[in-house]
Amino acid sequence: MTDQIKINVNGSEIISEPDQLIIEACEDSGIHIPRFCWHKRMDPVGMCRMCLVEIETPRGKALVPSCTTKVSEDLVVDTESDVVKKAQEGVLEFLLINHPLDCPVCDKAGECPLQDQTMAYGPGESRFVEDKRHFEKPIPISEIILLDRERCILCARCTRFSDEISGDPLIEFIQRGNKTQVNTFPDEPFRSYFSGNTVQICPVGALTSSSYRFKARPWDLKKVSSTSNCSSVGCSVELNVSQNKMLRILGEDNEYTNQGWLSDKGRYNFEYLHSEKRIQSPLLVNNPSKELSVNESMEIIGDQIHTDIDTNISFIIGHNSTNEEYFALNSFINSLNENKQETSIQDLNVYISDDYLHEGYFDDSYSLGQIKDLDSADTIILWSQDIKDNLPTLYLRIKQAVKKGKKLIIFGHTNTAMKNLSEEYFGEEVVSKNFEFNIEISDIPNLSRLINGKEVLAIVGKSSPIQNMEPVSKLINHLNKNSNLKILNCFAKGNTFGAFQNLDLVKGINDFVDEFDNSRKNLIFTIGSNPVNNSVYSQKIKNHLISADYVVALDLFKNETTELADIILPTTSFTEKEGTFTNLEMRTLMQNKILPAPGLSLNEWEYWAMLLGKIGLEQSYDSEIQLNSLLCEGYTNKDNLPSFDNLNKPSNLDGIMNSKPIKIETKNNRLENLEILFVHRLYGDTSSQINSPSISMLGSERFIEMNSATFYGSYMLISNVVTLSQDDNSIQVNVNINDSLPDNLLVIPINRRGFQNLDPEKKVELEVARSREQLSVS
Amino acid sequence: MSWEKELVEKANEIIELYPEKRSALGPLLYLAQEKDGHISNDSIVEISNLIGITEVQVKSVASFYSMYKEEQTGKYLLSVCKSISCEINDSRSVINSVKDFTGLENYETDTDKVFTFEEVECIGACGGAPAVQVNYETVEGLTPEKSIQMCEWLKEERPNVIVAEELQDKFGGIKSFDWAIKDNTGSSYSVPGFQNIGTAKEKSK
Repeated sequence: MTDQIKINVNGSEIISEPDQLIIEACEDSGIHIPRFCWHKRMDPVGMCRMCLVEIETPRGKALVPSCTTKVSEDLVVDTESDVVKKAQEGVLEFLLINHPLDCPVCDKAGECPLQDQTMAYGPGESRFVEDKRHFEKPIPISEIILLDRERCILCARCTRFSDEISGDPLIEFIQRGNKTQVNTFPDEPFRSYFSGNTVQICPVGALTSSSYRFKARPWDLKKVSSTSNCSSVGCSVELNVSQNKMLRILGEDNEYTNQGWLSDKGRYNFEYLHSEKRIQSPLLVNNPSKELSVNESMEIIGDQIHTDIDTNISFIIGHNSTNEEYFALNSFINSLNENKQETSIQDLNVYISDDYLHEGYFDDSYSLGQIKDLDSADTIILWSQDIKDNLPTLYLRIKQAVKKGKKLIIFGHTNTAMKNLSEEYFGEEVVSKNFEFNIEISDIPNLSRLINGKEVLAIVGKSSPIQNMEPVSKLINHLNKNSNLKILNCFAKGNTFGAFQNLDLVKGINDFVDEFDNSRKNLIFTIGSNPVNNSVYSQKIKNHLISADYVVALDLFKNETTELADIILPTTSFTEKEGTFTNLEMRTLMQNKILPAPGLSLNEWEYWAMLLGKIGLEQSYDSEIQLNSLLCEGYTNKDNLPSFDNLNKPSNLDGIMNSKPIKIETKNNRLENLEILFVHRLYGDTSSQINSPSISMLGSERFIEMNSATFYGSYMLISNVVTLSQDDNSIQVNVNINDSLPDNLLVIPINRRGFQNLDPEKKVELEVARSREQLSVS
Repeated sequence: MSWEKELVEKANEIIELYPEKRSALGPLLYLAQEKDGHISNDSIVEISNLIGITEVQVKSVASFYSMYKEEQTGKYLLSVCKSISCEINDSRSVINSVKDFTGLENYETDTDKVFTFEEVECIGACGGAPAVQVNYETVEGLTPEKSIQMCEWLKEERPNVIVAEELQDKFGGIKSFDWAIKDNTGSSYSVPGFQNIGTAKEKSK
C-alpha cells in the first residue's frame, strides 16, 4: 500500500488515496461535485463536462474534468470558483438546448439529476429560442425497457454499462453530431439479463421500464432497504412502495455483494405480490368454495398430525423462507420428534426442492471463501451450474474480476456464456459429457501453472441435476493440496443457505423420491416449493404427492404442486415479512417488511406455532424478534451475531458474516450416459414470474441448445423449429446453436413448461416441424 | 449468409492482418459498401459475426463516419470540394454546374442510380483548386464547363473503373504537384481504391 496523499480542495486540506480521481477523492471527503456521466462502478469517460473543476497547474489555473483527472500530491482544486460556476452554467445551458421540458409527465421528475443540478447549478434562463431536436418518443428497445431519445443527454452510462459491466453491448450510440442517439440494431432488441440497471443509472428520464412508467412520483414512495431472494447472492435492494403497492425495486450498492447492480429478474419480479390469483385464505383444494378460517384449517391439519396410525411426515421446503421461518420449522420438527409416542409419528424429514443439492464442502478441512475473494484471488475455478442464469450478479462480479486480471478456469459445459472470459476452458477433452474426468487431473494442460502455490477461489456445485460429485471432490482435494484454496459452495437459489444453517438436517429432493414409503401413512408439507414443475423427478414426485395420505401446501399461488394438495395455507412473500437472509458466503442480511400480508395470509412460523398449540405442545416464541434471538444462539461466533438489532446498525447494513454447523445428506446420483443436460434459465415459469405481467413473457420461449455438428450431423436438421419427442412426450421447440457444447448433448431448460417429463439418460428424437400449426412455437 | 464465399474469404484475409479481429472493422465496412453501394443491415450482421462484436457496435461505427454510406449511392459518387481554397477558386460555380447537370441536391442520388452528388470539406487538393472526386479519385483544376463535360462523359461511357490519372488528363487543369508514380489503378464504386484491402481496381485497356 502506498501512502495516502494530501490535496487542497476549496482552501481546506483533504486526504486521498493515491491514484484516485479528483471527483472520487472529493466524494469521500464529503465534497460533492455535480456529474452526469461519472459512475463509481464504471470507467470514466468525461462525456458530460458537468464535473469541471479548476486546478492549479504550472501554467496557471485550468479547468479540467474531475472525473478523468487523478489526484497528485499537494494538488490545489477549486470546485466553487466563479470560473467553475460559469462552466457549470454553460454545460447545463447546452444540455438543456435539446432536452425537452416535459418534466410534468416524466417519470424521473423528482429524482432527476438533471432537474436537481439545473436547480442547483444552472443558469436560470436559456438563450435558446430555436426548435429542439425531435425523435419519435418513446420507442421500446426490449420487452421491458423504453427509450425516449429526446430526453437523452448522451452521458453514455447505459452504453458503458452494457459494454463494461454486463458484457452484452446491444445498445450503442448511432449517428454523429446533432443526430447522435442511443439505439439498438433493428431486430436485435436490448435483451440483456441486466437491462434494468441502465434505467436505474440513467441520469434523466430517457430510459424507463414498462413496469414503473406513470405509476408513481418519487416523493410519494415509501422506501425501505431489504435483501432480494432472487438468488443466493442476496443482493441489497431498496423497495419502493406507494399506497401499499410495490412499484419498484432498486439496487443498493453493497460493496460485498451486488455493488449496486441487479438482474432483471431480481428487479422486476414483484408484480405477483398484487396478483388477483394470490391465495387469500386457507383453501380446501377439493372444496374451494368452502370458507375456512385459519383456526379451522389448523384443526384439520392438527388432526392429521395427531393420530394413532404410524405416520411419516415429510417437509419439502423451498428457498423463499426467512432464517426465522426455517428455524421455527426446525423447532416444530424437534418438538414432534420429542413427542413421537403420543403422536405416532415415525420419521420426520426435510427435503429441499433443489435438483442441484449435493453435500457441499463445508467441513473444517476446507476454508470457505467470500465473494470479495474474487478480487484478491489469482485464479478462479468454476465448476457449477450456469452462473449467468442462476447467480446473475455473481456473474457480474466474476466478469469484473477477470477484467482486473484474475484468471478464470471453467470446467464442464454449463458456463459456455463465460467461455470468452476464461483463461482456460476445460470442455470435452478434460470433462466428459456426464461430468467425469477424461484425463488425470495432473495431466490437465496449464492447470498446475495457474494453481500451484496461488490464491485460488473455487466456485463449485452441481452442473447437472444428475451428476456424480466424486470428480468435483477429487479436483477440490487436488486444489486444496496444491494451492491456497478457498471455496464458495454454489447453491444458487434464494435463501438456501439460511435453510442449511437453521435446519438440523437437510436432504435432497431425490432422497424424497427414494425414501417415500407407501406402506405408512404419509403427511407431506410443501412449503413455498413447486417440485412438480421444475425438477427432473417431477413425475415421481407427482405420483408420491398423489398417493400421499394428506398434503398441506404453504404457498402464495395455486400451482402444479399445490393443486395436488388437500389444503393450501396462504403465506407471506418477501417484502411482506421481516426476517434475515443468509447468502452463499454465509453473510446474513436483513429482509424488511413494507407491505401488509394480503387477506388471511400468515407467516410460515405462525402456522408452525399454531399447529404445535393444536397438538398440545408448547412453543417458545411468539414473534420474529424472539425467533431471531433464539436462532442467534446457534452461531459459532458469539461476538458478532446477526440479530435484528445488530443488522439494523448503520455499520452493519452490508450484512454480518457468521456460521453455523451445516449438515446435508443426499445420495450421490451418478449416471452412465448423459443425453440431456438440464439447466435452469433465469426466466422460467415459476408462479411468481407468470403472475408478474411485465416479465411473464420472458420465460415463455421454449428452446434447446446443441452444437452445430449435432444439429447438422446427428440430427440432420434444416430448420430451427423442431418437434422434440421421447417416448410419449413431444414438444415444439426452437433450436439455438451453441458451439461450445460437446457433440450429441442437448441443453434443455428444466424450468420452462413442457420439459419436465424427459429422461436425461435417454436419447430424444428431433424432427423438423412441417405444418403451419407446428411452426407456431409459443 | 448474405456474403458470397469469395467475399468472406477476402474478409478473413483482411482480419488476419490485425492482432485483434475487431480492428478490421473499417476495411470490412468498405468491402460491404463496395458490394452494395452502401452498408446494408445484412452486411452488418455478417461483419459482426466475422469479427465478434455486436451488430449495433458495427452500426455505431458505420453511422458515425460519412464515407460509409447508409443509403445506396449511384455508380459515380461526385464529391465536390467546398472548403476554403476551392471556394476562393470559384468552386461554387463548379458545384452549381454539377448540380444543374445532374439535377441533384446535396446527398441525393438520381433515379437511375448513376450519380450521387455531395458537397464535401477539404479533400487535400488545395494546390489544384477547385477539385472534385469521382468515387474518391481526385480531379484538380476543374472549370464549370469541364465538370459538365466530365459528367457527360461518365454518363455516356459508363467506365467501370475510375482512374484519377485518366480523369485528370481528360478534364483536369492545374495540378497540386506530380506524384511521379504512375498509378493506373482506381476504384469501381463509392469506395476508395485501397491496394491492401483489394478495392483498388486495374483499368482494362
